[in-house]
Amino acid sequence: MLSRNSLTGTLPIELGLATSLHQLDLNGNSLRGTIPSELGDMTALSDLGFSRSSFTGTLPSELGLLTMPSKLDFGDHSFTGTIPSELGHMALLSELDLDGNSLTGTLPSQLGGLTSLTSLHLQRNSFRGMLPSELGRLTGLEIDELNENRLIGTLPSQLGMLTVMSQLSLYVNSLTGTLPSEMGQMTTLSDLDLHENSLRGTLPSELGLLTGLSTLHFDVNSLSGRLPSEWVS
Amino acid sequence: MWHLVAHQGVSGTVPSEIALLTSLQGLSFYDSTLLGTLPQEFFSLTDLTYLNLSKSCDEYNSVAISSMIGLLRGLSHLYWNESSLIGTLPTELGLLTGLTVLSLDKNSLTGPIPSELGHLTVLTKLNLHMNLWTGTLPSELGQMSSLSYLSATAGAAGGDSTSGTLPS
Repeated sequence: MLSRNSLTGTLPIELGLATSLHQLDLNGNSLRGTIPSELGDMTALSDLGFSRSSFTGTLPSELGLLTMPSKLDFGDHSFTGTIPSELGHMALLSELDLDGNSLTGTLPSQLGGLTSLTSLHLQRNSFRGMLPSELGRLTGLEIDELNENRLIGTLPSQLGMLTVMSQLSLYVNSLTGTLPSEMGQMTTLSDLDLHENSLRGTLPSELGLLTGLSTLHFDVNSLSGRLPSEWVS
Repeated sequence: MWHLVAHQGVSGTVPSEIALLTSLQGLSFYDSTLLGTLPQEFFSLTDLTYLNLSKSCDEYNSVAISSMIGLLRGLSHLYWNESSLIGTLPTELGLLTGLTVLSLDKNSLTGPIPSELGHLTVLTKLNLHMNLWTGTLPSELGQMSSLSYLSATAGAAGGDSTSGTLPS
C-alpha cells in the first residue's frame, strides 16, 4: 500500500513480475503515463486503485486477464480508445468505474459477461452506438450510470431483467423511441433519470408499478400523454 | 413546450437575439464551445425551466456565473458542470426557489458556499464537488428539506477546503 503519498512518474512495466501481489493501492498519488499491458500478468491482484493520478492512453486488453479484482476504478483519468471486449472476462468484478474519461466506441456486448457486477459507471465519456441488449444479463446490477455519452437507439426491453436496480442514469444522450413496458419490472428503482434525450410517445402504464421512485427526471424529451395513475395518487 | 438542444459542435457566442425565443422552456448547449459570457438579454428567458450548460466552455474561456441568473425564476434544473467556471457563487442563486437540481461540479469556483442556497427548499440534488471552495458549509443548508443528494467532495489542485460541521 502506497496510497496518499506524492509518488510521481509512470508505472514500471516490471510490475508484471509481481505475480503474487494481491493488493496494489496507489490511490491519491500523482502518477501519469499509460497503464502497461504487463499489469495483466499480476493475476493474483484482487484490489487495485489509482485515483487522483492522471493516466493517458488506452485501456490494455490484458486487463481482462485479471480475473480476481472485485473493483476496477479508472474514473477521472484521460483514457482514450475503446473498452476492450476482454474486460468481459472479469467475472468477479462487482464495480467498474470508467467515469469521466475520453473513451469512445460502442459498449461491447461482452460487458454482459460481468455477471457479478453491482455498479457500472461509464458516464461522461464519448461512447457511441446502442445500449447492448446483453446488459440484461447483469441481473445483480444496482447502479447503472451511462449519462452524458453519445448513445443512440432505443432502450432495450431487456432492461426489465434488472430487477434489483436502484439507480438508472441515461441522461444527456441521443436515445430515441418509446420506453419499453418491461421497465415496469424494475420495481426496486428509486432514481430514474432520462432527461435530455429524444424519447417519444406515451409512458407505458406498467411504469406505474415503480412505486419506490424518489427521483424521476424526463425533462427535455418528446414524451406525451398521462402519468401512470399510481404516481398521481 | 419548446426545447432547444444543441449537443456538440456548436461554437461561438450566444447571440442576444436568443431572447426572442420567449416561449423556450428547455435549453442545452451541452458539450459546445461557447465564447464569452451569456448576453444580458439571455436572462429575459423567464419561461426556462431547464438549462444545461455543462461542458460549454474550456479553460481558455473561463467565465463567472452572472448574478443575473437570479432573474431566471422558472428554473427547476440547472446543470453547469465541467465548464471552467471561475469566481464565487452569486447569492442570487438563492432566488431560484423552484430549483430541484443544481449541479456545478468540476469547475474552478471559489469562496464560501453562500448561505442563501438554504432558500432552495425544493432542491433534491446539489452537486458542488471538485471546485475550490473555502470556508464552512452554511448552517442554512439544513433548510433544504427535500435534499436527497449532496456532494461537495474533494476537488482538484488541493481541492475543496470546506471545513466546519455539517448542518444539523
